[in-house]
Amino acid sequence: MTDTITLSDALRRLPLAAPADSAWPAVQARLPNAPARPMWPVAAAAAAVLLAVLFQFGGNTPPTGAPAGADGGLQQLMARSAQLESAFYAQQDDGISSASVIAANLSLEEQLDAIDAQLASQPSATDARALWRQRIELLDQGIQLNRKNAEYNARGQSFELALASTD
Amino acid sequence: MTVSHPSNFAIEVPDSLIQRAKRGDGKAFEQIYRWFERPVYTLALRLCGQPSEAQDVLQDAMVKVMTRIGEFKGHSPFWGWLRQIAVNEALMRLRRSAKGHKEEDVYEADLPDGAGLLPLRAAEAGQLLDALQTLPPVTRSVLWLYHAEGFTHEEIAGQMGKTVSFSKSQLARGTRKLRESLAIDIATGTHT
Repeated sequence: MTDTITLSDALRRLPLAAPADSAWPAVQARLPNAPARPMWPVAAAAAAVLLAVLFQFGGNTPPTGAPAGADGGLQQLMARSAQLESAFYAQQDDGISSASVIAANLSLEEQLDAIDAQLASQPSATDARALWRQRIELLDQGIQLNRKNAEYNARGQSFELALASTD
Repeated sequence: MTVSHPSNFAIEVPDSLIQRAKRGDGKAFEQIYRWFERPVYTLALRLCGQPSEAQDVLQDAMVKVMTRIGEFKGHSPFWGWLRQIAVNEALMRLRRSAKGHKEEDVYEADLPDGAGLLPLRAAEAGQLLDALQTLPPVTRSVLWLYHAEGFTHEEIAGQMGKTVSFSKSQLARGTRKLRESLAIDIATGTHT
């Protein structure tokens, strides 16, 4: 007896085709607001203000972890960065963020992108460690920002207004 | 929408990622694009037949997904919503490229039981892809939407602006031609 396969299974088992070139750059260029780069000055300003105020707040926000890998090796730094990155993105799920918090997060992501670009250019071991530490610091700041934002949201208060009234 | 078979599109997208995309997060958009690039491109290639057309469909469909993501209400899986946009784009392009060519709309009788089965050795990927390419685009589209994506005849007819009997007839025709290309005897099911 001949082994058979249904036409449905045979078609669904065909390998996926891939485009010769990624369409992402063209898609991104056609999105109305998407490319974050042109928003950089606004986002950077908002993020700078927000983060500056946050960290003048007085250190009552516990750090998200040990000054991870301050003296550690590259592997530990990378692992800590991955751990923080996962926490950073998981925080952005509540859907309640002011425009400034969103801009600050976007700005942080842009700075992470810039660091990633430098890391991709195969820096020396010393420079790579410095870049991974910057990455960890940025993610740490982002996590603290979002944590504060979430605390205020939970109390039904505006994080932005609270920051504005600190001086 | 009835989906009887798993599809290449059936990727569970976390709600958090969709929410981030709705807020205009470029990284979330890019992640969604990466996950669905190949399923969309493959669908477009199977329906339209040409890589250049599939590339255009991929781009247009993804732009629509990104700009309309606010309309996604979450009542059904995200992948199904995205797939529908891709199908619509591919069929629109197919209609445009078919303008001026009269689509053969001959009635094709239902196939005998077992016609939907292929001998395993006839289902080798390269052979099957070559056989698919020999089908007229509309016939191939019906065959793909029905078998690979699991759409019903009613859904296919609605998407193509045709009747259910058109969809059934095209499926029978496509299956028959595919089996001929693969040199499978329609009555006995043997591979010659």
